[in-house]
Amino acid sequence: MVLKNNRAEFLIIDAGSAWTKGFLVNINRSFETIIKIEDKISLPTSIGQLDLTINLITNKFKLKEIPVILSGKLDGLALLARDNKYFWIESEEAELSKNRFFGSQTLIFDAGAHLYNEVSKLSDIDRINSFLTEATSHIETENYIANKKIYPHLLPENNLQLQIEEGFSRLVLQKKLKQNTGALILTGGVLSNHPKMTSLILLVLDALNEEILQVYLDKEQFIPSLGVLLSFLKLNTTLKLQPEIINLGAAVQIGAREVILDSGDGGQKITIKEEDIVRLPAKEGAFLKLEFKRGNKKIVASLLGGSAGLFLDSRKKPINTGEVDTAQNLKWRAAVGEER
Amino acid sequence: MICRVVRRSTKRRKILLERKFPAKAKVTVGIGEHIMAETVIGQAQVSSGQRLVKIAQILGVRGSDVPKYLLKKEGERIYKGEILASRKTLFGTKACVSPNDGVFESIEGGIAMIKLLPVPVKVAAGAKGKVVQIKETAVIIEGEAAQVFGTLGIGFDREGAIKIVAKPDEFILPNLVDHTARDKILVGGACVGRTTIEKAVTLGVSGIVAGGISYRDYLSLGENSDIGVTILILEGFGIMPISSDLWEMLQKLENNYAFLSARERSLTVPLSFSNHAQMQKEIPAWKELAVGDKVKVIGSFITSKSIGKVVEIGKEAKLENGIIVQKATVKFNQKIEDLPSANLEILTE
Repeated sequence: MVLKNNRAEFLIIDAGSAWTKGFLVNINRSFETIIKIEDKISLPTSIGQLDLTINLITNKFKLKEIPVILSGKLDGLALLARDNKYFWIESEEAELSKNRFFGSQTLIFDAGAHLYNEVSKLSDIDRINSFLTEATSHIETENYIANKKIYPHLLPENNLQLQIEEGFSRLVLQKKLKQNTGALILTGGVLSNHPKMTSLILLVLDALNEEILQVYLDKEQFIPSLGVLLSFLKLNTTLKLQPEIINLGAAVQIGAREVILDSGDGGQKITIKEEDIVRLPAKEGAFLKLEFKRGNKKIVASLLGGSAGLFLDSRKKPINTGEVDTAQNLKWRAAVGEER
Repeated sequence: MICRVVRRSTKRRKILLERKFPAKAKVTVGIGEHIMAETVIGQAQVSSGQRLVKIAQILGVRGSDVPKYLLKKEGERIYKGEILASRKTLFGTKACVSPNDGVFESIEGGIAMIKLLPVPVKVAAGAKGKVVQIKETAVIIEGEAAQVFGTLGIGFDREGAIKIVAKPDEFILPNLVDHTARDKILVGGACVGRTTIEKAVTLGVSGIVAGGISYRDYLSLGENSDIGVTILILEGFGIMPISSDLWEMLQKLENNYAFLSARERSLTVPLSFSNHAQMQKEIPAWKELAVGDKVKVIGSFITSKSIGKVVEIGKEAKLENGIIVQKATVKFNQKIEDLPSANLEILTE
């Protein structure tokens, strides 16, 4: 699509299985491509009556004569787009554009409602309890997850429910992380709405095996819609998002050893004890060089400081959930800087 | 904020009850005929299966030798205790008798198959009403009924009289299910467990209606299978007391004959004619939450915090866990509370 005067405004609607997000975006392609989220709205997806949610979202912006781009996996959406003269982008196409844009070394982990269909084995669900700071039975955790399957738009009302949802994301992330992943973008569901960024960092560290990851958070839940827009505009250039995706910092799985961290000041030696998590302050966007040995191999990693810092984890992985208790959990949460 | 609209119960409505026969039946009523609940609407012959009789083993001969000892021909009628085959030995006569009334269907490898005689079954209407359609395997009756709808259903369609066995916030423990529960639909309880369900199957209980079930037990029963008893879960997974609106209604319906459908997740209780019942109106699946709406809190395990009325719709606010949500103020029986709007369902009749 050709943009008039290199500027355009769109309403992108991403209809998920639990929530539908609408983003009013402004694109400016004068010097660099800037995609600015002007306004947004999120409503439960009215399954069985899809037009209700979509109409409420379009009505919110009805004063503006702007093109609407609709995307999603649910049956009936394509027809709804055609009937209302909206642009329609297949979700698979949007997914491809998004993955092509971020590259193969970036994992986009979307914790939307679809996640709850990815794990059904009770033995897997039972592992969630090891990471809770409040006591509850395995059966109660299973029941909460099962109710979430019936009511996918159910929101966690208290800390325990929040930690159960967090734990479910941890389970799935563990299965998805691969060794060649360099960057991880957290988006959707409990991740985008989580009030504590340090909890998200700990969730990533728990799932980490031998990886070195730069961790980002899509607080706006815009990444799936960005895929829709990239696909629609056939864009594959460098672009700037406003507001930006939050750089939480770097997470490194490391054994008990000495490391050299150079943040532009000549470098400092840091000793990591066994079974520990070390949080180092690192200014957001600051270039960091981390040197350490893994076996006989010298590893030099270039990282970026983030809003939460730099995290070095020497815990044995995968974590033996049978040995983890509440006190241990609280210690780990304190180590990443989580306030109680 | 929009919320799902649910119809949890209907006190009285017109229904079209499809009364199925267990097999092809001779229908004994006509279209337009007014019938009572006890009226016989059809007679069917229900097959009772077959039994195998190991003749060779009983007579102590090889399978191939059995035909020469047979006293009955294939296709012949045989009665329980009648001699099917016999063999003389040095010490007397060895005889093989039929274990049931039936038809001597076949013999193979020294094993006889006795097809049991079909049992005649008279099917009662189960509901007062008017016959509006007759099918090969069912009669459609127009009548009036009360209905209760649940969240989950397991098993085939079954029927029986309603028997309340536990208060809405209690467990249905195995000791609450005894021989008086046979052919009944047991109602009550915040949770029904696997042990109780197994006992119910043994005692011939038709159905169980409870507030909750654990996910573990639900999976072990098989999501789309039948274990011999039909289960209707009204609220969800876990310990979920039956909410006050449904409980009041179920209490009034005790001892009534009812139909339990897992597929439709409903309990249908035929009522006598009132002449002012209407066919059920279509309801929207979702609507915008408004002040005055009667709502149910999804996933609540506290009876007193289950059904309430919206008194205010608020802006975004922070929950105790730090998550920012759109809140609604809901008035319950005893208190007023702020809740995430997304966790509410709008109730309608």
